[in-house]
Order: sequence, then C-alpha cells, then structure tokens
Amino acid sequence: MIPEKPGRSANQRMTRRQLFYVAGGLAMSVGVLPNLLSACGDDDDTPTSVFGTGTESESTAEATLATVVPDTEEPRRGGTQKIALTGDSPNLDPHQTTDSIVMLVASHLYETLFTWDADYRAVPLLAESHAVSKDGLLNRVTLRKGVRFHNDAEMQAADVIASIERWSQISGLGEGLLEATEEIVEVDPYTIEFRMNAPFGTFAMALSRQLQGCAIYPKSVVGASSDTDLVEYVGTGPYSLVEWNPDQHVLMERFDGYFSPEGAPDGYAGSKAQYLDSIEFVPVPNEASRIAGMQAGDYDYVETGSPDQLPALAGSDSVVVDTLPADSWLNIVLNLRSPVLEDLRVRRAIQTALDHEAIMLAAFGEGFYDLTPELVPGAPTWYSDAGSEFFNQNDPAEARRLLAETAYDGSPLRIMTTQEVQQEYNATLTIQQQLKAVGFNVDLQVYDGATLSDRRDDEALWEMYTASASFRPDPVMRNLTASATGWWENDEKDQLLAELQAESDYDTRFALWEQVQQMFYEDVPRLKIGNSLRILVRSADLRDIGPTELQPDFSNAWLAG
Amino acid sequence: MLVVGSITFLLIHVTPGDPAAVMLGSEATPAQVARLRQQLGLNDPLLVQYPNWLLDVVRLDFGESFFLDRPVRAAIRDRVVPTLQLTVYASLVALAISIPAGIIAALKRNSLIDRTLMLLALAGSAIADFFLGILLILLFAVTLRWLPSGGYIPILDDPIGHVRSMLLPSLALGVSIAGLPARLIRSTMLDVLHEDYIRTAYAKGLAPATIATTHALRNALLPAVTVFGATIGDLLGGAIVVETVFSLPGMGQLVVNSIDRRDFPVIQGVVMVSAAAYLLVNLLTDVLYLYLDPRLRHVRR
Repeated sequence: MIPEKPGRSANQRMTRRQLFYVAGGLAMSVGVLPNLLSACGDDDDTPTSVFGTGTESESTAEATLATVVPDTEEPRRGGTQKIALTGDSPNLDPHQTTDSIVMLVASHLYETLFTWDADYRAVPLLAESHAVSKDGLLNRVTLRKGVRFHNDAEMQAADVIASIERWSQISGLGEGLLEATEEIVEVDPYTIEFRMNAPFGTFAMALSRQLQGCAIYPKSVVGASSDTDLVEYVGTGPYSLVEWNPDQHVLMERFDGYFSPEGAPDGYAGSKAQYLDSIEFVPVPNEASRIAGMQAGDYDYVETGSPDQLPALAGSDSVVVDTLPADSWLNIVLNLRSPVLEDLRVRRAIQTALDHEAIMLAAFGEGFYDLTPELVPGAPTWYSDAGSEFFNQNDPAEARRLLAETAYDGSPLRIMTTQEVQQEYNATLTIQQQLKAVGFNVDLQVYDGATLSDRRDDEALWEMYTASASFRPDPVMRNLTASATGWWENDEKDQLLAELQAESDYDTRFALWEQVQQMFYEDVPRLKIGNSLRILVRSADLRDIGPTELQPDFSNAWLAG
Repeated sequence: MLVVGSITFLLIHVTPGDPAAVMLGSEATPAQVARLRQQLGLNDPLLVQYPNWLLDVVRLDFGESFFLDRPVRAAIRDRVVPTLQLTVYASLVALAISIPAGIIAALKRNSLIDRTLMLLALAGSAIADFFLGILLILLFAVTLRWLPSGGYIPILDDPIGHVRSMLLPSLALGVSIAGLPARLIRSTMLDVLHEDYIRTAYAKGLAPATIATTHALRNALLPAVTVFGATIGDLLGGAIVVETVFSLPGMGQLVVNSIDRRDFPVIQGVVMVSAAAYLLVNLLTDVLYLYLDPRLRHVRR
C-alpha cells in the first residue's frame, strides 16, 4: 500500500466566527472565464488561515513530532474515525456555500465530475472521459457506467444536468460556466454535450472538487429542492449519511454500493479503498477542548491546529503534528478607488516601506511563515519569481522619498482589521507602525468579521485591509479581476486573464501567468506579505490521509492498531 | 416581552452584516445576493417586516432559520434539552455545594473552616468557567482518561454515557455559580442564628444540627432563593462558555452561532424564548418564596 502519502496544504479552516464572517471568505473557485470572472466577487479575502491540515507530496513534509510510518505496514480495514471540527457544518449542500467545513464533510458523501491529481490537473471522477472539439466550442463528457447513488439509483446524464443547472443558479462559478454555455444536451444516458459560446479551457477545473463545487445529486432530489434547501443528502460518494444531529455530530458509514474509480490513488483522484467503517465529524468549537480531546484519544484528526498548541502536544506519543508546506498567504488589499491610493506612487511607497519579515513574525511566529513572491503557493507547477524585485523591499528611507514626491497630504489611511483573526490583527498592528514611520497618517479600524466584510464592499469607507488568500489549484481561480474588492482595473491584465482562461496549453499559460504576476507587483493592487505555514494534528494511528490543500479525503485513510 | 422582542429586532437589523452575503459566500454576484435577500424577505422595509414578525411571534411562529434548514422552533426544541439538563445538573451541584458550605461556615464562624470555605467560594465564582472547564478536562479526560473530553450523548440513547458526558460540564458550571449563594447563606445564617427564637430552641435543648437545618436554614435560604432563581434564569438562556468548552449543542451555542451568521430569525427566537424562561423562573421563584415564607402568605390575606 502507499506509504504515508502527504499531500499539499490548502484551504484553511478557522474558527467558525471567521467562517461566517466571510462572505468574502473561503471562496475559491472564483473566476473561470472573463465573463465568469466579472460575475464573481471577491476571492482572496479570506481571513488569515489559522492553519489547517495537510502534508506534502512532492516536497518534504517536515514532521516536527512525527513518527515515520514504515512503508511495509498493511492497511487495516475497519474502525471509526472521529474528526473534531471547529464548528458544525452549516449544511450538507456544497452547492450552497464556500465554507470549507462543508467541503471536508460533504466530499465524502458526494462526488464531482472531475477532481485533481497530485499535480493539480483536473482528471475525471464521475466522468469517464472528456473531449473538446478543435475550436473549443463543444465539450463532450462521457459518464462512467454503473455508478450508484446511496438510494441505489444509477447516476445518469439527467442527474448530472439537473445538478449542474441547480449549481449554476447558486454559485458564481456555475453562473459563469452557464453564461459561456449555449446549451447542455443529453445525447444518451451516459453522454452530455456542452455547446459553448466561447472556448472554455478550464471546463474540467470548473467542475472539479472545490469550495462550492458542483456535487452531483440525483435528479429526483434536485427536483424537490430549492436554491436554499436540499431535501435529501444523497450522493455517489464512498460514504453515506447515517445521521446528522446539528452541533452534535455528522455520522457516515461505508457505502457498500460504491463504484470506485480505477488506478492508484493520485492526489484526490484514483481508487478509494474505503478502509474505514465509518467517519464521525464532531463539532468542538473550543480550541483547547479539541487539543485536549486529541490527547485523550477522543479524536483522530483535528480540522485546524494552531502552532500555539504545539507546547501542549509536545511529548505526547499518541498525537502527531506535521508542519505543512505553504498554501495560503497573508495579503493587504488596497482600495484603488480611494482618493489616496489611486496614485500608483503612493502604493509604491507603501510597497517599499514594509518589512515583511517583521509582519509575518508578529502574525505567525518563528518557523511558521516563508517569504516568497509566488501567488499560488501549494501548486508548485505555477511557482514564479516574477516581480520579486518589488517583494519585501524594507526600505523606509526610499519609501519616505517616494512619498514626498507625491501629493499625499496626510489624509488618513484607513486600515480595517478584525480581532477575530488574531494573526491578521497582529500583522495589521505591525503594518500600522511601519507606515507611520515613513510618514503615513494611519487610522486603524477594528471590526467584527461580518461588519468588516460588509464595509469592504463600499469603496468610500477604507483604504486597506488585511486578509488571507487561500489555496487555488490554478492561477485562473485567483480572482484578480476588477470586480474583486480593491477594484484593480487594467485592460492589459484583463486581456492576459482572458487568455489564461481560454488557453489549455500549460507552457503558454505559464508564460501568461508570469506576466500577470509581474503586473501584480508593478501595479500594486494588493501586497503579498508572505506565506503562512499550517500544522496538521492527527492521532499517530491515522494513515494515508492524502492531500489536504482542498481538505483531506478520508476515503483511503485507515486506522492502525 | 414586547420590549425585549422589539429591541432585539431593531438591534439585529441595524447591525451591519448581511445574512444573504454570508450564506452565498464571497464569489456571489450582487444579483445573486439580491435574489436571495428577496427570497428571505430582507428587502421589505422594516416597517413591514416588524409587524409581520410580531404577528408570527404571537402565534408562536418564529419563522424559518436562514442556515439550519429548519424552522426556528425546531432548532430551539433540539437545543433546549441539553441546556435544560445542564441547568438542572449544575443547579444540583451548586445546591449540594452551597447549602452545606454556607451552613458549616456560619456555624464555625471565623474559624479556619469558615475562612477556607469562603475562600473557596470566592475562588469558585472568581475563576472563569472556561478555565475551570479546561482544567477538569485535562485532569479527568486527558490525564486520568475517566471521562470524555466533550460531546453530548442524549439520555435516551445511552444513560450512562449521558451522565459521563454531562458530569464535567455540570461540575464546572455548578462550582462557578455556587459561590454567591454559599456566601449569602452564610451571612443570613449568621443573622438568623442571633435571633431570639434560635436561642429559645437552644434553650429547649434541641440538637445544634436540628436547629441549623430545620429552624435556621429555612429563614436563611430566602435571599439565596432569589439569587438562585436569577442564576437559573440566566442559565436557561444557554451557558455559552461551558457549552462551547464541552461541545454541548445547547441554546448558548445556538445563539452565538446565529449571531455570527446573522441568522436573524434564530436570534430573535432564542432571545424571546430566553426572556420567557427568565420571566417564568422569576415567577416560580416568587411562588417558592410564598411556600418557604408563610409570613408573606399571611400578609396577602
């Protein structure tokens, strides 16, 4: 069996406060098309990741306290895995929400047409294959035959179409896909054709696993449901729902009728061995209680672990802590429509002034950050140094000189933050000091999460706020359009994003992306401060949890001993 | 009730934060948010929303939760059981601690026992209940592994598991609310013990224990009953912190989550129910007063 195969780190989960807070939050999957992009709001404004889970496949996952699992160990079938969540799943309907708890829980119940392999390429899951016509205007999806829902009905084209139609009513990503689609045609029960208005190079990505992804439900269930209400929790996933008692637990058991994809596990793709008899998700809102529960052996996995808890866990032989490679980053969103910041030279002065090291240290602490300029950490194939000359300049004298050349008149720079995300708050205090030191008049405004996400939609109310950008498997899913909060308007950039969207060749796309990243640093719509590193806390008995950037999938996990 | 409901209604609607935006997540388009607001009835002017809501409340219909996929009444019904249980158990713990402690401290006034007990009472009410909760978890769940670290087991599913899961939270909450009644009982006991009728009882040759428990206690309990009633009224609204530390699905967690999500109907429903419970407990306290203190009955007649 596969050795302990670490994944990459990903989407964060944090306290439930942050969660609800985030209208602007944990969204990924933002834009896939230019028109789609324009249809979407903000993506990157997630509150700072408070560390989730994950390990790394290519790169080395440094285990701080980890015991090395021998490759030879045989997976054991059976047992119940208990997972401590930071809060209850608000629903079990992935179409509804960008909440990453829903992705963690519900991805065991439902599947998507496509999913990601270890290199973050979209590959078929419920689909058998996917073909695109030469002109890119026809996407033909063939479904796997014999896939059953938990209610024993076979999954067919009608189910898929009904699900996609509902999803595209609710999610921004789906709306974008629908806009690009002329019509969806059921050719036969196992073949669907999407006739497009324009080439859609990222078709499979749009229908892959993600926050607010397109889970496939039976047509009968979709028919009885509304946009805001799913009447039954029936999917094709490897585990089926036993019961959900809100704030108490979500319990699911192995689905014996599951029709596993073929091939060795590869990222989120490949076969699912379903070793675990059942999986129980327990909401444990208090962090100290989660950690105590881990130590007491009540849980096998904690949805989110904070490095603050490391001392409490050191020396425990039943709990393992892994440090995950970077997959999300702290950033400062600038309001380009603010009278102060519409001047590029003022933004450059801010960029030049900041000492990223000090900010990250204050926010995350020694050893839990790194400073690199790439904008899609966690997906190493998209790593680029473009614009690094502008990154982390830490030159207050130069910043003062730059600022003196502008018409800046000492009007207040309103920085919004929230104490609900301690890391963000600490970072903001440091930023405030550094900007004051070069002559800015800084007005720090502290709000609760929901208020903050309300206020940032109003361009008249702020100049900057701190946020965390969460994992994206592909740069096109990073919302850098003018519709994202901050309102970065640049025609050349939008053209590049559109090409990035339509194009499917990796090398071409990489070249396009490098140009976008360069412009990101030259235009200063946002400031990337640094990557935050998360930790994963699990019981020593839990094996093979796979990648974690998009939350772990426990379909191949097993409990030793 | 009308005042409480109206204030709540107004407060949550003037507070920034849009439930539709929270529900849909960040990539929702303004059009989607607007459509959902329409569906949720949030676009109506407050002057329309308010009477509608008031009419529904009179019919005990609190509406449909935005997030929980169920009516508010059902959501509250689910959560009220753990909260009620926790309140009852914690009250028992508090009674079991405060009454004996108060009596003993009064009888041994200014002795080492008195000082120790009152110091403990002070410590009990001063220590934050989440901190006490964590300490209890560390001792009984992590170190000794006798009890679960959290979670809720319904009494009908598994009575023993239920008791095990409720023991630590009841203890944490009970200890933290026992301090004030203990001190009150002690001070009123001291007053009562100086009354003439107590001296008479001693003179009659009754055993000191009998005097303390039957003659003195009944009078000394009265102020404590008031305090206790108020405390229980509070607890029925949900012991937010203890419920969070021990992951109990009670009213406290419900209301905190709902505020975070701006789930207006649930917030309103919980506040109304809590206010009603508070009033009810106070009423019961007054009735109990009549029972405990015959003098009040005579006054009325």
